[in-house]
Amino acid sequence: MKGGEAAAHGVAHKGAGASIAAPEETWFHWVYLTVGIPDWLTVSILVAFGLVLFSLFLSRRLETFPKGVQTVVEMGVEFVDNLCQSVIGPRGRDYVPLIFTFFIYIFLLNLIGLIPGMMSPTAHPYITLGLAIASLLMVHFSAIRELGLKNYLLHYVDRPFRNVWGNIFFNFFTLGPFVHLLSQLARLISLSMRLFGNIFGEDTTIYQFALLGMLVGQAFLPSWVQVPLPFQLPVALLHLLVALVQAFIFSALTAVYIGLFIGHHEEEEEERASHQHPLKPAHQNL
Amino acid sequence: MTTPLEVLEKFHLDFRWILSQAVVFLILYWLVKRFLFPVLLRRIQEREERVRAAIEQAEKERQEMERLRKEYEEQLAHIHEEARARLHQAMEEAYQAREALLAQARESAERLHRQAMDQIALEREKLLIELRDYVAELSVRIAEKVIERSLTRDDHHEMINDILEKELKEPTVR
Repeated sequence: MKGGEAAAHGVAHKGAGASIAAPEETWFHWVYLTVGIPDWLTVSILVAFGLVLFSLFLSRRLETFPKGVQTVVEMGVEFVDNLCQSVIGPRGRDYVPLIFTFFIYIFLLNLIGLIPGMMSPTAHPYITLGLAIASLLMVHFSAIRELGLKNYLLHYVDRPFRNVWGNIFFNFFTLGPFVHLLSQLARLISLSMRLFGNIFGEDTTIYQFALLGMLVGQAFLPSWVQVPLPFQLPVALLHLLVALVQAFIFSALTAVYIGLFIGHHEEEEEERASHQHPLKPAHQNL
Repeated sequence: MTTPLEVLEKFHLDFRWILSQAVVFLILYWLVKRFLFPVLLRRIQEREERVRAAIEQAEKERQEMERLRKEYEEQLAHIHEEARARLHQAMEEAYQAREALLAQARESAERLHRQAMDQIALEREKLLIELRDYVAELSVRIAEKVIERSLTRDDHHEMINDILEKELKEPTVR
């Protein structure tokens, strides 16, 4: 692999000759060779396109009493609905489309690597970083929309006192806003690296087990039955579970982050309304 | 002093690709939310309403059934009680009728018995009178034979009367 190509394919393929990872060349490598879009982005766009086509197709044949695919989709939607309502609260219903899209999209991105000649786009850090950025953009965008800019910004400061100046000094000395910003950055990194690490690890393991199966087949079988042994099969089955779990974790964490902004705000409103909390004084001063 | 962008370049991060993936997702989200979810949620809601209506209907019918069942049970219990009362009454009546019949039969039997006893007594009286007449006549005939012609007609009568008087005072035949 040439140097420029390796750079476009990102860190995972730096020094491709020594890499143990699965090759990132898919059936769509010609797109990279002609237009310059890397394979993982092509696959990701294709999956998104397929999902859009599927939803257009499904939305035209939805029935009141579901059967077939619609049942599965509705089960997923209801599962996500329960999740959102328990994590975000009564406003959770509004976020079901977002969380469900994250879930199904990441699940498919994780799974598509199982097709020979394809790769999981989520085994590439650019894709997971992009997904995490989209997730946090949506989180902060919905927080601003729900709370208003002022209340949103108030989430970045601590307000333990009634006194405005007391709070200002407190935040100045504890570096509260800086810590809050850092935690947002940590969310970005944890969301993207968890997904990337899991799927990349699974793909690499599957690839290496497949190679091992080929080597063992060559070494121990008689020359007239040279077949690769499917050593990667158990890991591939495990990959189904990991794909589901990682997609669930990513979307559930997005819901949790939304809930931390909106649910937290609702709690504060209640406290402020009751004026009863003994430890946290009311903080309408800031 | 290195700028943040230089740091990112050291990680070989190319933000064009990262942001393009974010944009891909956001477009996908917008399309799915725009096209799939309104219809899907409407269908789910429709079904929920139908199911709720069906369940409510079923519950209503169940309550109606329960009410009817209770009513029937009450009626049935009533009928049982009435039947028992009637049976009791009928038995009472039958018992009374039996008592009455028995009394009547006993009375009738007693009457018959009394009649029979009366009849027997009458018959005996008659028989006794007949027998006395016969005995008298027989004794006259025997006496006639014994004392043939030794007595006159007057003697004869006198003697008979004596005997009869004696006999009436202290009857030897009863």
